[in-house]
Amino acid sequence: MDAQRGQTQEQQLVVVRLDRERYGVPIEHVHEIIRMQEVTRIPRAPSFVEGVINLRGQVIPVIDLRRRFGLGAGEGNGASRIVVVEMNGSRVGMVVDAVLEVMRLPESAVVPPEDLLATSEVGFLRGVAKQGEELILLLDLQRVLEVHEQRALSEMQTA
Amino acid sequence: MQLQRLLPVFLSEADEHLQALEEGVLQLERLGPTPGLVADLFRSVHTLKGSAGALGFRRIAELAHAMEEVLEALRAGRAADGLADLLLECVDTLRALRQEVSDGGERTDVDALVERLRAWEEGGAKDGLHPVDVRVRLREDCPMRAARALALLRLLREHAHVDQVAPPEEAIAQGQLELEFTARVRAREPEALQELLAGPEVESVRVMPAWEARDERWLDLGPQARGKLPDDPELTRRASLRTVRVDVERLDRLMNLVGELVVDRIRFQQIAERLRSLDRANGLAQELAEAAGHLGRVAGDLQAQVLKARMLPIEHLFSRFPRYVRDLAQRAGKRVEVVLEGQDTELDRSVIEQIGGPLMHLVRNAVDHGIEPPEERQRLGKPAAGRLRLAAVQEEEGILVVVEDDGRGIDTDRVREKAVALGLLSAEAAARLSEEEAVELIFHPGLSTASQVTDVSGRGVGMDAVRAGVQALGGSVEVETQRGHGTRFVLRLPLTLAIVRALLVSCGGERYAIPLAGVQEIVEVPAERVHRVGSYRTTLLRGNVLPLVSVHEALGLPAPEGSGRFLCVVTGARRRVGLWVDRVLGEGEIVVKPLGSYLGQVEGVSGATILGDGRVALILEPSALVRLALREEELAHVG
Repeated sequence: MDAQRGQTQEQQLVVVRLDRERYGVPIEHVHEIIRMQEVTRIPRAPSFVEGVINLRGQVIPVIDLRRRFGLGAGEGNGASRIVVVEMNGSRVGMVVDAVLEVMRLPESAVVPPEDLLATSEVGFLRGVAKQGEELILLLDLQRVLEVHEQRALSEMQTA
Repeated sequence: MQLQRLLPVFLSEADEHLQALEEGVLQLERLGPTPGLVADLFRSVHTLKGSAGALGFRRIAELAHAMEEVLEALRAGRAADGLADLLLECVDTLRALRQEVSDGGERTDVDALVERLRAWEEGGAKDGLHPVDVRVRLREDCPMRAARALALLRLLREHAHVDQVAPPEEAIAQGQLELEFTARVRAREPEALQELLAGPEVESVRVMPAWEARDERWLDLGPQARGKLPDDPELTRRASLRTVRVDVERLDRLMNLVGELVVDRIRFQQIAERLRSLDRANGLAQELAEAAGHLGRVAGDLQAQVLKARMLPIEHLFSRFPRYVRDLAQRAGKRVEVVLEGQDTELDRSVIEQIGGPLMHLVRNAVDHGIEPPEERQRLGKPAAGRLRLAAVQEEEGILVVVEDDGRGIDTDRVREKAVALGLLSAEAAARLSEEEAVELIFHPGLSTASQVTDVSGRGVGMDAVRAGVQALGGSVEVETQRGHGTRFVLRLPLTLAIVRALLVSCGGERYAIPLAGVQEIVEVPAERVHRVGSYRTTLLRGNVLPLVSVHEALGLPAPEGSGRFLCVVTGARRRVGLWVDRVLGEGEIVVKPLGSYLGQVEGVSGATILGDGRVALILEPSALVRLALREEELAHVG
């Protein structure tokens, strides 16, 4: 209902920072944003799976978006946050370098990622939006959270 | 919208009605159509029809309607010949439809069944017989009333099919007859009966359609039928208002929150400790510590209550077995009587869900291999029908479930022979085994799988799977057998899976919990007593060689700094293995939580728990760790 404003479709995004880029997460999937906490490692998990944390009594997995996108190690400063998203009924935390803002974006501002970028994370994006001079990369959460495809991929690389 | 809200209610009600129907039909088969029973069946079918109709489930409603008609015929006095099988088929079809409804829509066809129900119903009319009640009143001055009444019944039998008599004939023969008796009969020409029975000693003969008689007249059919009065609907309604259905997921969430309270309590206590070190705040610190203590007690009680809410009577599981055994016995040409005991014993629903498989296995083995065919039993001087007893008892630490039969018992000689033939042990070793040790062989995986092809032991089909299933729950299986007299399996089960006693260990900087059920003892072994045998590491424990498995290696984690020393000796995969950890931190009760579907199955890890400081610790599954470690070592051999 909220997305219908006048003629143009709008979406609300939580904008996060990862390395030097700004990424948009659709707000309807964001459950909450929490501070970094100590993570318990999971044996034999894909490398981008950081581990599990305690979210008010529920044990939820946390993935490291930097490693997911093949970026270097994190900055580890106080701005890091865990964005807890809900996807297909399960909750997953994503570690980001910082949470910047919540913004509205008209659908007309979004273009397919291939048009503007040629990086490895194109596969994880569902579009790119121009905002003034800045680009916001819109995450395709379904793809970002897909474990099995990634597991198969990493096994192929190590084989 | 409406449907979405009502569907879950319908489904769970349907389950209850179907269960009640199945039990009722089995009773019908055994005891015949007592009025109370028929009324119960009718009520279940009728309710099911009503709610299915309201939600637009046409096929369920149609089948239920046809069943209603048949039950109506029973109520009107038809005998239930051959009806049990047909009604059980209906119950199965309704179950299938119920599943389909929850998956999206009715698919199973009901026309053929409805047709067969109709055919049965018309069977009575087709053979030209009409059900009627014949009430005969003797004159007060009639001499030898009982003899007269019995003579009249004999006469009646020559002209009609007599289904029931009230009072029963035995009672009449014993002189328990006032002046009147009623017979429910099927006759070709009911009108003629009046003239047939009339005579000088008979005051009156009334012939009336059976369905007008309804239940009331038949209430006093004897002790079997007594006590079967329909429930007071008002009472039933009031009872149902006192219970609510709760989604298990909600209970789990509640359990999570309670766990958090416990963590908070520990934080408060720590704050109180810190405050106490500041002199000025001493009084406040004391107050805070007391409040934290109270919070802890409340949280503990709350946890116990939530656990209790997750409990279900084992009846939910046991109630399937009469039907299951009936079908098995029928197929195997055997007669088996099922005895259920301790049905109201309560267990955590997750335990109930998981012991169903192992129990079915044990029951199937008992019917297929344990209990002898009727002729053989009679030759042996046993009752023709075998006895299968399922019992549950609550003990201090958990629940005992007993599966017992009075069949031929386990032939340990043949078990020995088979084990030798399969090369599991030498003939000498087999001969040295005690009876108990020989019986234990049935749990050996090699023997189990082999006997699926050739039934040797009379048992042992997948017995290793049964034991593994029960052990995975933190329970155990024991067996006692006496040749010619039967076999008894005793399953020891934990009350709940939600809380287990566990050992807390540290390993490579992480803390892990190991369920105590799998731990035999804890020993400290210094590094110099660890020996390498090829790629294996072993140590000597009381003179025996104990293979060692490092938790890090098994989990594929980097080796820790400094060498571990402590060992927990665990049994897993039928062997004793030492699990190598850095430190043993303590033991306590932990609340088990799932890792969630996102991570899927993590090998060697059965779940997670939240420690007192709020951090997550993984729960290790010792038998899986041993499997993993052995696999790694095999790989190491190859590489």
